Amino acid sequence: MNPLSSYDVVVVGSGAGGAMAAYTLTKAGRKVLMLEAGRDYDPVTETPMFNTPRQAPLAGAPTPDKNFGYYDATIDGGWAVPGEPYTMGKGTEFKWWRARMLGGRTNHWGRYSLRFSEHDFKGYSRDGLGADWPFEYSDIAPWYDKTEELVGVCGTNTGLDDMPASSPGVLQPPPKPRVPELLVAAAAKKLGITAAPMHRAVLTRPKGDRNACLYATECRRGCSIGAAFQTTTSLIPMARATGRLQIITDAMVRSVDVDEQGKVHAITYIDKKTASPVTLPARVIVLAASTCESARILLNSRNEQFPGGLANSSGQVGRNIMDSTGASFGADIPALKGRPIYNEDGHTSNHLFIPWWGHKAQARGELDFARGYHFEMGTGFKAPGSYYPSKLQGYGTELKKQAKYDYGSHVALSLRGEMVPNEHCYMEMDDQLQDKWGIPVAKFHWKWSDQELSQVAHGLKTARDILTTMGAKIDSLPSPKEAIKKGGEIIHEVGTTRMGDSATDSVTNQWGQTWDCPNLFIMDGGVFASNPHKNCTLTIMTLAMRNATWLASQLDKGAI
Amino acid sequence: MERSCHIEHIIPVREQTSARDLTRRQTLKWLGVITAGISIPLFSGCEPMMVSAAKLAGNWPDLKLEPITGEGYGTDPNLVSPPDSPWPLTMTVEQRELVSALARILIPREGNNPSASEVDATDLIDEWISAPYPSYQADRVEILSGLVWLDEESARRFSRSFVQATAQQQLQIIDDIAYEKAESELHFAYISRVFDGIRTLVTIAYFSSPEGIRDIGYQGNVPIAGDFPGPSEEAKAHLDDVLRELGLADYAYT
Repeated sequence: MNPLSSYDVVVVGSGAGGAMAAYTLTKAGRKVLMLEAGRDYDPVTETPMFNTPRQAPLAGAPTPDKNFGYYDATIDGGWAVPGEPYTMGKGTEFKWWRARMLGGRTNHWGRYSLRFSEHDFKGYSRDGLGADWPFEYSDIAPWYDKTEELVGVCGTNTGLDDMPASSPGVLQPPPKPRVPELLVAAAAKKLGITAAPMHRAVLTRPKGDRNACLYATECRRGCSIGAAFQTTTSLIPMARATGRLQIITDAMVRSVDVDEQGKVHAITYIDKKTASPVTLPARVIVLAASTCESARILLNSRNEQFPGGLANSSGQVGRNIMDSTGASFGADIPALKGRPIYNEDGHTSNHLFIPWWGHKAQARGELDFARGYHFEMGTGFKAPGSYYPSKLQGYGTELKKQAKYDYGSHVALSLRGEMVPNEHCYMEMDDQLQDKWGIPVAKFHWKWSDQELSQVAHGLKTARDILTTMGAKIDSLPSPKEAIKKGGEIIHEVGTTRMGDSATDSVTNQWGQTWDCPNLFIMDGGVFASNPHKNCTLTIMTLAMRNATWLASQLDKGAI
Repeated sequence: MERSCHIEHIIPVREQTSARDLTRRQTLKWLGVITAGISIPLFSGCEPMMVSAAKLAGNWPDLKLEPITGEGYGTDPNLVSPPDSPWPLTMTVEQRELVSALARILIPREGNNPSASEVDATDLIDEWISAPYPSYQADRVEILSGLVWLDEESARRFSRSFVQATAQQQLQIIDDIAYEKAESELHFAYISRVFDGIRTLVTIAYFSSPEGIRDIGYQGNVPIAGDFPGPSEEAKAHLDDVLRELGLADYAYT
């Protein structure tokens, strides 16, 4: 029997959105065919758990082949994918991180999982910038609960206005904070700023087949025991266990094919093993190929009927790209030099962070930017590897003594903030260049506005004040233009197919259903109407769960 | 840190470190590209002049080398069992001897702790400068030029190569280039930056070795059953002292 003989829904992509859609649909009894552009990947056998940096080439240092270092889980990707370039308009610097592997970028992500709030969903109503989301926080709160429960998120309900509460019993206990984090928290508190336990998609209690964290070996490598959430140890095996999920890897989708009524009826991908196109019939298609890849598919699906690209009657496909703002500022802290050493690995990332504290000041008009940010911390007794943070002097006994004394004394505060969409940030198709599969490539345009630069300026001053309160000596700050990361560099790009209340200015409705093609859905970060500072993945998964549930109900009713 | 127009600011300051984003910043403070603090606006136009002046005054050999090209380890290497030798090492026997001598000076054997040379610092540096990637090839030009400079400087002072010089003679040279003051002395400005790069690599090599990990006291990379225990009693007591000294005791996180 042809294993592909029957399926209800084609899901493009196996990352946060695609895997959640496939899980939800298969659990609802629907048969799903998943197409993944990269190779099959098994974290159980492929994760370098406990390898030391020194066991890797160059002590694990980054290279053009592995941009985040040798052990980063990303396969055949990073800032460049071999044979799959992208281009940029004049004056644009944009970075697009891709992975070509089952599970996509969930295999290496930071696992920070913070809920958006009603405040976040209604930015436009408040300040007239960007767009509102087409639902209330109360509509989505139960889905956040379900997603957090399924994914496994550690953290606490803090009661802070930037952190909506999860229902009782949903969150797992957070790990204890560590010394540098506690010092940052105290210094911030003196300045009226509150630190809080980070919410992270890392198990501190076992869940199903997944083990609790063992507090060692960086999550970015992937997690063979399933403690750090990635779809390849959770949603995908769970969906497979229903017997209703089939996956084709090395399947690079080129276009969605529509009939004369504008309904999708087929999908065409390049089988990378043979470099030849394959067209499969499709009753319903869910695009979750990533924000920019899904938009690329829509724009590449243009035809005589849809010359501007599929599902693009609004003209918004590829527009409104938003990344998070990023900037980092660090210093050696004299009081942390020579401190008692203990095992400070923890879950290898932030136990505490600084949520946005400025809602009230912003409402009073005291800030010269519209939206918030948070701080993450980079510090601790890290595994010695290809990185030494402090300035060294001399040689011999003196050098060694100094290196040991300085160990674990550097603290960096990294800002992650909300950007406001602007007309200069968008993607289109490059009309000159195709990738090695013959697919036209994306062309990006990018420009930060004063909103983002003013926000970063505020963040740099705040970081300096916190570090100075901790006893650091700081004599100058970079300018916001020097400090701000490039567009795309925080890898939180969203918004290219935004959802909304109206077909005139958005690409999908609140269910991720495209206004133009009723059997075409988008379930990745593309649907974000704004990009709150809180890291996008939890909300991508939550929306995918909610919207795939709605899709299943529509299929049950025969409405699609 | 001194903030004047000198060689430290010649090369554009790279981005600061972040918890998530590994960049070259987290690899090497190369040539003082990265300062412990933050950049100052560059004095436009003076940097190339300063580089030329520093190279001229310092007898910089400025090797012209064809970059090593070829295959790296690729975008899908085996992470669990990394290759022992991802590309051919290219340093000559003489270059390796000189690097080993520097590694022994920078981190000598002390008690039961080996020297950096004994934990394969030379192999790591050879692997580094032989890596077929552009930024590593840029480092190769500086490091190999630095090795030539050390031999030539030794010849100028003592009429013999660096490794043939006595330990005392070697340290006369190193003392001139190993400290921050050298960065503002025109004739040592360039070599001191290159020496700092070599020093960082040797330090990385030593402390990332099993012996160096023990020496620095890193306690992690071991599985913990149950909850993360948090700071030790000693670490908590130290934090309490620090909070008190900084006037932060009333703001302690609870």
